[in-house]
Amino acid sequence: MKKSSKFKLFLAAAALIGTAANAQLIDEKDVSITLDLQPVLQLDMTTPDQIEFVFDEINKYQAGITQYAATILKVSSTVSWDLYAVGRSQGNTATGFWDQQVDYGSGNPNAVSNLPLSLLELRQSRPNPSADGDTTLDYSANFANPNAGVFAGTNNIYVNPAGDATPPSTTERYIAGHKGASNNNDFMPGGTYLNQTGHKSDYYYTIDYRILPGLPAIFPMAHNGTDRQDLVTVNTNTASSYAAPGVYTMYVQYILLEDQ
Amino acid sequence: MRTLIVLILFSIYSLTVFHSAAQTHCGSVELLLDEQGDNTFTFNDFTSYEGGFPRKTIARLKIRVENKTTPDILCSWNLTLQLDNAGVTTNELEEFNLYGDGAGQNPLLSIFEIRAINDCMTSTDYSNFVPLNNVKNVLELIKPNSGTLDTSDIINAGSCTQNVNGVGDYISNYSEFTFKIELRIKPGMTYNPGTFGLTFNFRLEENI
Repeated sequence: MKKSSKFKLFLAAAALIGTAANAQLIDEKDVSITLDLQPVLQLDMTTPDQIEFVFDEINKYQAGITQYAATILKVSSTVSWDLYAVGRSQGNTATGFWDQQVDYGSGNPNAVSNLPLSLLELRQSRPNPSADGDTTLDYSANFANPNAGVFAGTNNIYVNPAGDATPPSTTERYIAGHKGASNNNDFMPGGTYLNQTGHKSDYYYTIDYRILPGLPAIFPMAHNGTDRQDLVTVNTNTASSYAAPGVYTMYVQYILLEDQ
Repeated sequence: MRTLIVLILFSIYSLTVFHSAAQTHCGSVELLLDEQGDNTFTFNDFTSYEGGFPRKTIARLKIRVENKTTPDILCSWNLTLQLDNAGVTTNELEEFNLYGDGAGQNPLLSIFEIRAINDCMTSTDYSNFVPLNNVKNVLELIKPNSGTLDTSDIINAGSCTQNVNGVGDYISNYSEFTFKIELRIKPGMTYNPGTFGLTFNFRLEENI
């Protein structure tokens, strides 16, 4: 072996000795944890089984009937969410109209049994935070006075033209949140009404209902967000049309869904 | 002449190595992980999300530090904790899978608080619950020596005071050489649902 090789070998050995002799003593242990955050998306609703509007006096036709805070909606969710209402029926007269259960009338040709679902008006107790004050995107506006002669459709319930419960579009009303992906102001963050403080909460809404038949009973407030749907304006009816007396039913479906 | 040069070089090298490397003081250090429970935490209703787990023991650590055969008065130790989230954002938990669309925020480390206690409450900073916030932070359960180690840095076993770091073990001095690691978890309802993980790396070192 050459002398240079011996020298290199010697240095390597010396380095090993020097390093090994000065190691710091260390011991380690690991603990791993796993969080299983299961989704909670819960809508609590307090409401009568049936909300009745009985029009048996002339002033009820003229002034309408308002059921204040008839429904209370409470949300608990761990995901971003939207909440909307959709007016629905079985469509036994036609899709998008109230179901006629009993007909009191005599079959007068001016008596219309197709009452549009959009005649039902809602008013939510506090604005939709995602609407940014735009009352065309929620139900927070006060019920309009029919005597003012302005029928802009500020509170009419959302009705899907096909009669199903698909979410409203970007131009239609939500109670909370709105259509669209997150990261815009179109969703409500996870949370619950149970830990809110103060006298109001974005997770707690009361809903007022109003039906105003008017005189004649053409439901002047009916509106689909674009056009009036009172019984005279709506396409096939005549100027002398009025609502056929009878018993009608519909239902309001409240849908809480993960923001999308 | 060549031999002389080699000897001089070796002397310089030896001095460099022995001077710059730390001098060890202890004979052995040993960290035992005892009583590791089921560390899966499930949240599935309002109570569990908002109430969380107020106190949950995730580990019990037992320490044994022995001196060398020829005792060194500077033999002492420290205990630290580092967090490992597999390299995701420094203030988040590691995501295993999501249950929803994941459009929200993954849970942050700040949902955790940790403490390390024993009968003598020897941990200076972590005898009470302290929130976590960044995986890059080293949590000093028993403080390491800073600067040149001397006898004033050693707090002997049996004193039952803060930062005991002298020679001893959990058999002779159970109250100072055993640590119960407790977590408090309160996720709230704003984070993405899914499964998430975090690893706690406990490290026992001799002081140098």
